[in-house]
Amino acid sequence: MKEITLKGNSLIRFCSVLLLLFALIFGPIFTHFVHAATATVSVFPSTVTSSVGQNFSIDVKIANVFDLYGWEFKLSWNPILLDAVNVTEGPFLKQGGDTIFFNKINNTEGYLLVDCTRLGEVPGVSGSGTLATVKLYVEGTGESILDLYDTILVSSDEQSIPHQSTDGYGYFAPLHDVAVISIVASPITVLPGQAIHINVTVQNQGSYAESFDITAYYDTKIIETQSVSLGIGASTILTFTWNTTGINKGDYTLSAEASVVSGETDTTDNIKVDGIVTVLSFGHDVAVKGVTPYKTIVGQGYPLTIYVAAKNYGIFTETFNVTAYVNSTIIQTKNVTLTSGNSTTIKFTWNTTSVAKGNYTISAYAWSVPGETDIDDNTHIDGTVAITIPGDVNADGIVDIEDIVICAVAFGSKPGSPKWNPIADLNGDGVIDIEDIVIAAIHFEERDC
Amino acid sequence: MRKAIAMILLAMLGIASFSFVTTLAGAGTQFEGTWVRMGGIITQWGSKPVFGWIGAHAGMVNKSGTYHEWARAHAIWSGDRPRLNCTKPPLENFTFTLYAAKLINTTEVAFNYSGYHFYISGLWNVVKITTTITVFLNETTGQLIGIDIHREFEPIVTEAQGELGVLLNPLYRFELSIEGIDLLSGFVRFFDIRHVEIKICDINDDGKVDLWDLVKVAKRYRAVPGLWTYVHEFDLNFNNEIDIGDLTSIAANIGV
Repeated sequence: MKEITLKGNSLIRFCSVLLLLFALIFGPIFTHFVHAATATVSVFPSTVTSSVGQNFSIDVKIANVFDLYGWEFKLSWNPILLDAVNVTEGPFLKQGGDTIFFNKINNTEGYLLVDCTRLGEVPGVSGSGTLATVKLYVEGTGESILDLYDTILVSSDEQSIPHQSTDGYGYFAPLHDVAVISIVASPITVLPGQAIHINVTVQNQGSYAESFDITAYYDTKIIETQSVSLGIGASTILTFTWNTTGINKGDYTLSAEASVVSGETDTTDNIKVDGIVTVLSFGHDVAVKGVTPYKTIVGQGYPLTIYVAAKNYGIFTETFNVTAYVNSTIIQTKNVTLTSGNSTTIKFTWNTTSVAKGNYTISAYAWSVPGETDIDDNTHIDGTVAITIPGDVNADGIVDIEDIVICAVAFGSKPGSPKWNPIADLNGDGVIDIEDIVIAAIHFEERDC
Repeated sequence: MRKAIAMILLAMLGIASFSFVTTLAGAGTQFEGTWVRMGGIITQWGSKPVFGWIGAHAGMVNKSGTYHEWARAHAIWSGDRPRLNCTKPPLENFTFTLYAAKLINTTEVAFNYSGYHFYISGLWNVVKITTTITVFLNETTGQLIGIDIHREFEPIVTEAQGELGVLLNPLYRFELSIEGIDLLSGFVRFFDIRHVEIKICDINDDGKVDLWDLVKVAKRYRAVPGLWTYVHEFDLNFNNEIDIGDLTSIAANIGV
């Protein structure tokens, strides 16, 4: 046999030719595989668990599809266990532009049919994503296949796209669910020693009769625990009596908690916090409950509104003065009249013109009334307010792009809107608008020396 | 060559005629219904040569002892054949005129009636449609990137009495006479008669309405006569545009 020996350049040429041949032969095949990786249509998640009386959603997802122009599928289930609530189009096909989406739900036979197509002379969409989302309601206990069938995928040249489809499966358990529905207290203002009756409405929202405990609280302290047994769907009102003997004067938050029953998953409604009751003190007693500045960073020369909450904890109607302070400097004094157990919010305006830049502590003082003995709560101190260069929204000593950005992000907002940020309301007029941006722009690049 | 083509066409017509005769021969049998679908090419409007399409769909159904008949028919035509029958996207702005006739109320559907093999009479509306197309081209490549369509509708006759008559073997001709306009005529392109329902929305005629039919029509979405994408058979609601109404009609019949 003749031995063939390849050396140097010959070897390189030989390898190059081999590589070229390999590319020519297998290249198209690999390319084909890239596009022809079988598309799949599947139920996601493939296994779902839910409880009777609950809704759950599944997605019908597609993966590895190339040039998808239209799709259709049917999904069936055990109609004794499930009802379809709705079907919505997923984002996959419409990422390329307009689509049209139709569905038909047959809850008697337990199936739905969904169609979707792109519109016009446009290419299909490639890749992976969600075709549709199906929301179902669990009516009964058991298991059901979520059978994805008669799936059709059509390309933009009106050819069938080969694919595989994968079903889902659901397990539907009976529901254990108890809840506190409401808390109603009466009376809501008492003298120490008086009883407060608290009516707590509880409900069994599950599909089993349940026995469970209900505990009523004032703040974090237990008032009483009671046990109750409720049939399916039943509710009842439990009355708790809170004897306020020995309770200090003040405001207390009431809540009630239902113990978690075995197998319960929805526990968010087992606790209800609702209502504040006031325990008064005998005699004369006024207090400042809170001091809240409109914002904590204020441009020098712009007014700051400060809200002071005052309350009368005594048993007499009182007329008294409330003074707001910045450090030890009086901002304003206002006179209020409050009946027993009532409170009010007083608005003060601090004119910051000629106030030096820096941090200031704000506080308020309710002048003691004749006969008042507990004056500890007549004073309330609440943090600091920074006086800065107008426009220095973040109080870092310079008006720069960061401040502009903070204003821009909150632009157009008012108190209560999601973007609202009071420090961006430079002129304090209750809206973040062009006037605030102008203030920041006028002082742009100013800095504390 | 021409002779050969003519022979083939004659042979096809012969086969079609034979099947029609066979079908009619079974007309004495008790069927639940008879459904007809026809399509034709309009070639003449009075003395003027024109080009256009006509389509009709009719049913004569005996359901639980109750007989009823219905028909749908629509025709569009224009003197500007190249424009109406265009096959390519426009590359310049244009305005053209066509006419459309729509059967709005059926009074008679019959076989072998009034001298025709198949006959539909009723009330028709005819409109003149002036379409102005503005094209938007890529400045660099010159390719079409968008189209603006403006149409004006001018009623020609409204609720006018009209008759569509179809002559089959051996002529394969049709005539549409509507009071107030000249006679339209042309040749029958297909004539389909069945004793099972011919579903209007079964675009690909595979016996069921499904995604394939929806996609076919969706691809022609927003097409109007005068654009290369318009297909007369896809304009299911006969509003001279392939629109959401046509897609909805198909979708409503999917799975039915």
